[in-house]
Amino acid sequence: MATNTPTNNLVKVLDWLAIAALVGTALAAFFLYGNNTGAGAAATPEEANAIRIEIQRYLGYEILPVRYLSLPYDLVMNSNVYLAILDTGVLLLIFVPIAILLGFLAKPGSPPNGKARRWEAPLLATAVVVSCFFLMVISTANGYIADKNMKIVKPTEVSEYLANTSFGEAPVGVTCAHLYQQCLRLYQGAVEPVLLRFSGNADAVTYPLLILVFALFFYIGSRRFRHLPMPEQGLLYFTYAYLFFWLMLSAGIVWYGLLAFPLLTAFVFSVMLGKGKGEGLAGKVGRYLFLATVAVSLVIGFAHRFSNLTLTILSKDKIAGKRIYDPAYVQYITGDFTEENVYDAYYPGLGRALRSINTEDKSLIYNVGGRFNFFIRANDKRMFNDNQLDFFNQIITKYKNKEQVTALLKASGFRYLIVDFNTPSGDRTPEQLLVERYKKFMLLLYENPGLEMLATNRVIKETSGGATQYIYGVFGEVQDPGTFAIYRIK
Amino acid sequence: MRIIPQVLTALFIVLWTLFVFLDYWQKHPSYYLSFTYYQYWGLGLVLLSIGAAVSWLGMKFGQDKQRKFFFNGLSVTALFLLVSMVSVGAAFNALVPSASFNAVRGVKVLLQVGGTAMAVYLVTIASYVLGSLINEFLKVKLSAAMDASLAAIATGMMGLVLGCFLLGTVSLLHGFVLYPCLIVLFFFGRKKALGFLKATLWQPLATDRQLNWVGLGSFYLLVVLLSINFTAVNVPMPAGFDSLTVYANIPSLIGGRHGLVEGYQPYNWSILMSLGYVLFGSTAVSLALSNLGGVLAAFAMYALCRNWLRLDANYSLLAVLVFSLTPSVTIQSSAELKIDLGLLFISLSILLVLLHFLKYSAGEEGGTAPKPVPAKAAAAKKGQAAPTGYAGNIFQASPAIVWMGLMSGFALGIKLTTIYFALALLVALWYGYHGKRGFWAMFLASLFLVLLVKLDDFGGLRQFHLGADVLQWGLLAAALLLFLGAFLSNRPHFQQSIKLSIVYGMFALFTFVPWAAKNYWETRSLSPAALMNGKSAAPAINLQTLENNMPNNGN
Repeated sequence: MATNTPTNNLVKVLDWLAIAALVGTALAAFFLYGNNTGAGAAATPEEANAIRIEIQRYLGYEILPVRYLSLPYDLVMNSNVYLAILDTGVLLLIFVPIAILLGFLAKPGSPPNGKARRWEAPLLATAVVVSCFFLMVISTANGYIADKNMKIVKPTEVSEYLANTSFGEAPVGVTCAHLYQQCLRLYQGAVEPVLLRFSGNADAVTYPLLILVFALFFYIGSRRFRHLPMPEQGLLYFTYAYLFFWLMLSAGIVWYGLLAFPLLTAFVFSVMLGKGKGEGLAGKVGRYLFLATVAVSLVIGFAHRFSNLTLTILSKDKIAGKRIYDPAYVQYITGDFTEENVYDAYYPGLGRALRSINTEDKSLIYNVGGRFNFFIRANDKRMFNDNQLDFFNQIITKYKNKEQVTALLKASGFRYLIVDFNTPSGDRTPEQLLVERYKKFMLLLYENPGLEMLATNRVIKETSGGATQYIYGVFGEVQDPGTFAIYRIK
Repeated sequence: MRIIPQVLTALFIVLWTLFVFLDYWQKHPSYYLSFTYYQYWGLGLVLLSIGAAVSWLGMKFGQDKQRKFFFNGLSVTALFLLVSMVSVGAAFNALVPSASFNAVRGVKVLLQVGGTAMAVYLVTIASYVLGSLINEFLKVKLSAAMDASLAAIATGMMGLVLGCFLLGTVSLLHGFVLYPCLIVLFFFGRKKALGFLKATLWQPLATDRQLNWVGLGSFYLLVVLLSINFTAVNVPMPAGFDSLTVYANIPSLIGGRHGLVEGYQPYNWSILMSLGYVLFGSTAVSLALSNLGGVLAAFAMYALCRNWLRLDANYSLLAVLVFSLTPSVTIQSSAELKIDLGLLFISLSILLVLLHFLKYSAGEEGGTAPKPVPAKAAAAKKGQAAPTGYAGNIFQASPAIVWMGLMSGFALGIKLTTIYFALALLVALWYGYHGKRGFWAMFLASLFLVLLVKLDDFGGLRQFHLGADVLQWGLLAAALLLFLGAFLSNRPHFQQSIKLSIVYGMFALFTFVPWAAKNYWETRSLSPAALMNGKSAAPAINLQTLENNMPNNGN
């Protein structure tokens, strides 16, 4: 189509009108609602809900734009939620920007720059570098250092950490801490004051900002990869759009966007090692570092899989490093254990509790974070899940007496209570709502004449008549905290 | 002067790599602790020795016409089982000091793991046969053999699940019903079944001439990893919280009830996993069917790297290994067994077909689509959006779109977050026809839809975005203006894009409708929430009902 036909000109006008419509409504939204940046603030304990506690912890609790913009970094570093299942490796965060950057070093006239203007490649390359730097600043300012005892050191505590830790004790931690210090200064000095003028816990700028950032990276990517044939370009643009929807809508939960990872891995490999790999000093440095990182990833990945450590019990785990398979599973696969043996090895006393629970399939079970659905007959019809203790909170707001609460539950058909002792560990809200509710729930269980404990894997120390023994129990001098308890309502 | 940008860029690369890696390392103490506590030096040595031997044999005889016979699916399976037995043996000796791993135990391991593997293989071959028949009917033809096989397996899984869904609605999900159905299936698809058996078991593996130590080593390590993860699921109960409460629980309930379970969001992959109980009465097989998703996803990723990103075989295998080794994948393959890896496989299969579709639409090769109008073929060579020249019945012209729609609906029935995938796929389609204008038009339209139906309220996030109700109208206006621009730029393309988008959406809904129907039956409500979630069978208890149930009404 010739460039200056009336139709073509009209199309260009429509393109500009589209941009104007978008900008106009973004500005309108800002002027109408932009002042209410404290909206959606943390609810009072009485109003807090399970979704906020469970889902939003993945996104974080920083100033709103930073929650989204720092997601790529936070996801890889697991800054907001640390669980092994969320660990996607470090390769992509390092080499996606590098893969984009290297393409801008090609000589003018050769792919990918093609017939680009001379200023375009350096400008876009600079944009990539600045973006990485900005990402580093906003992410580390809200991240943490793990000290030698695996305790979290927040960025505001870094000075104290550096004062108390020598380089020899923790070379990696100290190096990172110095960088964190500088990034925090930049964040607090330059970034945060600007953001706080327009944003807070809520705002009218984050969505338009995200679209703008997306448009910027769309432009960068489209210039970088425009030499690719149609199918690959289609895949690339699919990946862009998919990444945006996932990061915007999924609160940063990895398995909701799992598709992004093989796609980005494939892209990074094809750029760094494929036919389009960059030349020159930077290209060679990038390629060798990439291969080195891949090699390191393989070594640490296999060590990680073979050792299969559980950090929460590491200090007391006598078989730490040997759990390539669980001991009970190994003995099951070799024919030494029956299914019952496996259940009891994992959850002492569970078999006895299940024999009671599964004699019938009508009684109701009040479940607080417990994981025994799989073992319980008709569990879909019987188990009332209150993992965030929302419902319990409603009950005890009105009924303060534990006997009253127990009677209420019993009258409605509840016969069993299951609690997971790790329930409060998922609470990353500043208000610690779940922690408070959990304490009140445990008070319900404590010395409640209406309840009988059926099973627990917590070990307590009991002294009677001068003799000390260790028994399974919930309240007392805890020797092994265990993970669960099952109670029957008498 | 060109050296300066090279040096600066190299410096940035080094610093960025160092900083990010160090920060990652200090935030993931489990990695260096894995070395501190590492116990399996002997096992590592044995496996490395086996790997060196396998790689050497592969290099020496891989291209030998007579000896390459030994490099087939059966030998890979033997290697898989060998790794399983060796690793269990090492673990047994380390964890059970009172006993020793002997031949009897070794045989039991082989029987247990081998039996589960055979069960999973049966489901896979049934999927392949059924899927091939369906794809023939739909006229979906893919030029790359691996792409075609994976698409067939994906289609077959959809067919199997739909069949089980229908049987489940009338509580007929029994082995004595399914086994005869499978026998009939294998009878009608016997040629395909034999072809699959031949290709996967005794036909020599197609070894690339360029395969080197990197490729062979990566392949071997992949077999080791997949074997260890697969062995870990041969257990009577899953270990992870989500598996115990939802993803292994639902198949168990289905298997016990021989029918569908009330409530829950759509659970297509759980129905597939329930075959472990229905056909084999085995928790291990059920869990292995979750693990299968990861294995098939690895194949799909390899096909993507090899056939579409033109990465050589060695680096393709290395890429798959690197991805498969990430903790998020290994944990979902061995301990926290969910449906995400199954969804990943289906999504990757859809993308393989999308790539075929985009390639055909650019007119680079023949296939199911008619050749493009010659006058515009030149534009196709520049990698730009090119006309398709489709004519006649839309369903004849776009079997790939119909297939992608069906599979996307199936994927939506695995997990509702497939909505991102579907929107992104439409965006890619519109890019294929209209370039960047099409991309932005559909992208902004999708965003409008997201805000309109408050999809961003997942996790309670909408409350933080003030003015979203206003912004959405700007998105709509911008999208419509861009659509108008696309229409004016190229009317035939626009009409084609609209038709294909509608076809895609219709067929996606088609495979999702059974879930909507099931949920409507449970709730008698047409609200979106009711159609998505059904009626939970969990006790409907609130404070009021607690008080009402009290004698003397809570006084």
